[in-house]
Amino acid sequence: MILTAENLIKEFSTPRKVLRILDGVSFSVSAGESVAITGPSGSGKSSLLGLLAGLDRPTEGRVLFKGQALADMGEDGLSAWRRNCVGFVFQNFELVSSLTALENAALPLEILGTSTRDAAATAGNALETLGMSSRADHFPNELSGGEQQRVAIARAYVHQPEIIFADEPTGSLDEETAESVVKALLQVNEERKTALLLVTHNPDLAGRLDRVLTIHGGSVA
Amino acid sequence: MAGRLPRSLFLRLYRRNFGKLLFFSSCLATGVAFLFAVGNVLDAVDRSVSERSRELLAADLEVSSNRPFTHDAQALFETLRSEGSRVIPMTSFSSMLRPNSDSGVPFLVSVKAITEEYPLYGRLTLEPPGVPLGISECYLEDTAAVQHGLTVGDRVGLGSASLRIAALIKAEPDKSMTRFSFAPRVIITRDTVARTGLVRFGSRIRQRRLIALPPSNDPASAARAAVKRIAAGLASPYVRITAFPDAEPTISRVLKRVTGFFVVVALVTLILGAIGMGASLTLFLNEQLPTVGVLRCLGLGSNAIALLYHSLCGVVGLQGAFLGSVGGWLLSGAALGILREALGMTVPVTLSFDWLTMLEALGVSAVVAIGVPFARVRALSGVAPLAVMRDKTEALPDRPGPAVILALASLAAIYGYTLLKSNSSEMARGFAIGLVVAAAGLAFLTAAAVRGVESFAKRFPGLPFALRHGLLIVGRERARSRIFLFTLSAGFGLLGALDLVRTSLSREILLGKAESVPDLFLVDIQKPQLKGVQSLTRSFSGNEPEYSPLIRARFTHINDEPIRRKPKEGLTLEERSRQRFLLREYNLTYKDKLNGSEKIIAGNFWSPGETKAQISLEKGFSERMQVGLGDRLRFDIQGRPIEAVVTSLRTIDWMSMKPNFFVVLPRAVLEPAPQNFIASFRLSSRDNMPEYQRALGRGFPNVSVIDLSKVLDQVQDVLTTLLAALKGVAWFCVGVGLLVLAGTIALDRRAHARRNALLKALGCSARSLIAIDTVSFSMIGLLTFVIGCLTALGLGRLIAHMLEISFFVDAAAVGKTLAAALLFPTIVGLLVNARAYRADVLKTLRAD
Ligand SMILES: Nc1ncnc2c1ncn2[C@@H]1O[C@H](COP(=O)(O)OP(=O)(O)OP(=O)(O)O)[C@@H](O)[C@H]1O
Ligand SMILES: [Mg+2]
Repeated sequence: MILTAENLIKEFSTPRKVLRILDGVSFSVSAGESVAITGPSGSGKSSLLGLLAGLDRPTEGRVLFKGQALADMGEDGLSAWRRNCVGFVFQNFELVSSLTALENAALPLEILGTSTRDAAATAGNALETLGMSSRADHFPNELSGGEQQRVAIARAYVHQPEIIFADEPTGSLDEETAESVVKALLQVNEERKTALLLVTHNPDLAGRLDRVLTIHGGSVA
Repeated sequence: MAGRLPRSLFLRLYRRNFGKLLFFSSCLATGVAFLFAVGNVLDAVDRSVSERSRELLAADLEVSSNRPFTHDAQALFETLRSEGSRVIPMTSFSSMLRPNSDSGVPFLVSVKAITEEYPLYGRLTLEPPGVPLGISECYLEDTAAVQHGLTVGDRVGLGSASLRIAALIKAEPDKSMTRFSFAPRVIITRDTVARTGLVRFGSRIRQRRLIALPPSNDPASAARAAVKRIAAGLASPYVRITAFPDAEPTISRVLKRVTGFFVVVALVTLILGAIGMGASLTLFLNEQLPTVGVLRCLGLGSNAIALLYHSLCGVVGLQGAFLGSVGGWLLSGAALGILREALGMTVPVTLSFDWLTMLEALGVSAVVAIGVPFARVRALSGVAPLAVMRDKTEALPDRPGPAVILALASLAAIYGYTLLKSNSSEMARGFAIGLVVAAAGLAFLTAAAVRGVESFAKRFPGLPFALRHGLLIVGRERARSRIFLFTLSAGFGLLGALDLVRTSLSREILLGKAESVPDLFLVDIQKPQLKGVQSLTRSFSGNEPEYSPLIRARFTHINDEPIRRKPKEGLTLEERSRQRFLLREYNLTYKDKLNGSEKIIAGNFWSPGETKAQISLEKGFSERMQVGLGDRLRFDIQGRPIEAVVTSLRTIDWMSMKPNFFVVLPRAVLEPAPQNFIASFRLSSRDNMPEYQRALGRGFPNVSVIDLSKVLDQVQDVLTTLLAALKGVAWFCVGVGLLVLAGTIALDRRAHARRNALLKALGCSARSLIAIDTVSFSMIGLLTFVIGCLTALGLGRLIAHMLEISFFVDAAAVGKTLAAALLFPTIVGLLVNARAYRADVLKTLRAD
């Protein structure tokens, strides 16, 4: 098992009451497996993905990566884990506005210590795969939503992580582009045995993955 | 589209951003508060200084004349007395004092005849203290007693009277620096004068009246008003009336500069506040872009948006005015409390809080709060909706039009306000133009610097990760970097400039205390004695004193037109006064080299060895005489006429305490004339004073020593008080500046946290995040340092020039301020963002 969620509970306290978004979510993902997460809007998909990637802390329960609890890694350990093993695509892309598309895609490699030149070369290839090489030098605010999404996807796998979390990676794309993005992600999943957790509303896309988890009323089925 | 203000929108926006808006208001409020506190503080300083300076006159005013006071004058003094003033008579004249021993040599003294009420202010310090003065007694200045081997109980002859020395004078209040007579002091009672038989018709006697006015809230103005009244009442050119604020030019000159400096500090604080507010409001408006985009897309017109944000700025101004007035009032109270302690003030100082000041606060705040971000609001409201939506984090586009209008408007505003506060159009002009030029220069430099940083980071892709990204943040987040750089370098530049001006001013003031300033004068050295006096003095002072020849002369012709005494009937008061001025006897000197305190402002000074007869005149003297370059002056030196052309005009720094003369001629021209010498110097050790005086008394009994050290100390005392106030005020300004700048950095926290959260999601460790931030903040610090230094030097020079302070770069002092500039952004930036390094990623990203 590469990733295990044990009885995850996530609550948000609002001024009026405590909202329980996730209520005892447990499941595991094995290496190289691709899992789709679906569920209605507001059901807690993004929240779950954040917990799994260690970007947020569960109220109760724990997340294990290859048997080690994320909570035990410590702040620095968690950072190291993320830069070495994790790729993440945010629902709203979250590119660094002061960096070009290429620089954004190359960022994980640079954080790992790769020289700027090598990082740029690798990121350039990734952007080309996604049909983005002509926009490599543009800043995020000069790109369309779909283009930004493709940069975010390139950024999620340039450093060959062991697991990729993608929050609706095809949400803003037309069918053809969506297909190329899905292909790229699945190819990475197959060739490098990278585990893939993908949130989507699209049943066709969900059906192409190994397994589908559906969130409803705070728990998975 | 009509600009109707969507009220609910306005209220919601106000409530959402209440904290921030309050901060903007506080930036402004500190400036406003200071502007008002400074009024009260200045008032207090002014009073405590005037309290001391009237001790230097021993009165509120002095009326003096070489002729007996007329009946009219006597009547006027009676009127003053009946109104509650104290008026006491005093007479002074010069005479020879004869020690009553065989070896005693007569020497010139300056006699002052007093009544029991003397002095009206200050103290006459005697040794032994408190000895009363009898009719056949006198007090003698201690230095003269030492020089001539006299002590208490000895008898001396003055005219036909034989007097016993009752006590020695250690300090005398009204012996001021500029009005000292070239002879040691003897004090007798007024009844003794007749016994001396010296007061006969034709003898040069100066009649004086010392006047203490009834207590008033503003003694200085009261004294000046009384001067005007007496002058009008007497209408005589022979009477000189001096009010205490004008008695000591050194103090009043310094006071004038210090006052100017205070006004500059107040304005600088206001500008710092305005910059802080402007910068943070700009950041705020940039942040508002997405909101505005949505509102525009939903159909809100650009006029409505402009109105919305202008109103918000207006509210910031109102809050600022309110906070500023209250703060200013509290601040004044605190400052006055401290000052009263520090200055040892006895005059009560009342806090003023009037509606006019409040209105002024309101006006200033509203103008600043709406005016400074005006262009930004225009840009915000005018931008195309879709562009806004896309341009999520970048700044508003710059538009040159509003910026130019803003620059012109600030020019006018600063000019008007400085004029109002300083009453000097020259200062207002200099300040306004200087600041606008500085702002334009800063805008250019910051833009260039930010671009430079980006291209540097791009040119060297091999830089370590943290360094490269730290630099990229500065270079790429252009709008924010420019706001920071501008704010910080303007802020530190202004603070540095103030520091430079303050240290220049202190240096000038403290120069009087410096080792180099002479405090002893020798007068009446005869030409044959010169060699002997020189070698004696050299052995005591350790260096070569400055000797100046002194030649008495009268002017006889200006450009061949004889100066004649015209019948005074038919002459205006002014003409009579000029006639008196022209007919006086003057001390001339000769030299071929200027001393350090003189500066040629017109024409050229001759070179050594010049034989052609020519004249260098002091500027003020030439103005009173109404002559200029090229005019020919003829004068009479003991019967021998000399004619010379004015070839240069000089200014003199009288504070240097060097012997200086209004009229100077070349050495070769005057050397043969009858002359004596004066010298100014300082002893290598004050302890040698008695020994030196005794030696001088033995060898050269006619030479008098004038000891100015006590007077100098007294003046220094007053000036040091001023300096302390100055320093306090400047430090306060620094405090305010730093707070405002720190606030501006803090405002950027959100955008900062967001970027850090993202990098963290990508696996950046907290350490790398800190490293990146350290690089970017240090880069800002470095640029601030460089640009701030340039600004400080430029503005400092300008302000010093306006206040007529000789500019001096105290590298150590200004280095301290600017070293703070170097570290400040990093320290504040890391502190403010400390929490972000540990914050949860998702929470931060969602927080938007
Ligand atoms: N910090 C927070 N405070 C309060 N409520 C929150 C917070 N973060 C998320 N929520 C709530 O938790 C719920 C789940 O949010 P989440 O973003 O995970 O939904 P989602 O399943 O990803 O929805 P979508 O498909 O629309 O993206 C939502 O109702 C949201 O309002
Ligand atoms: Mg979601």
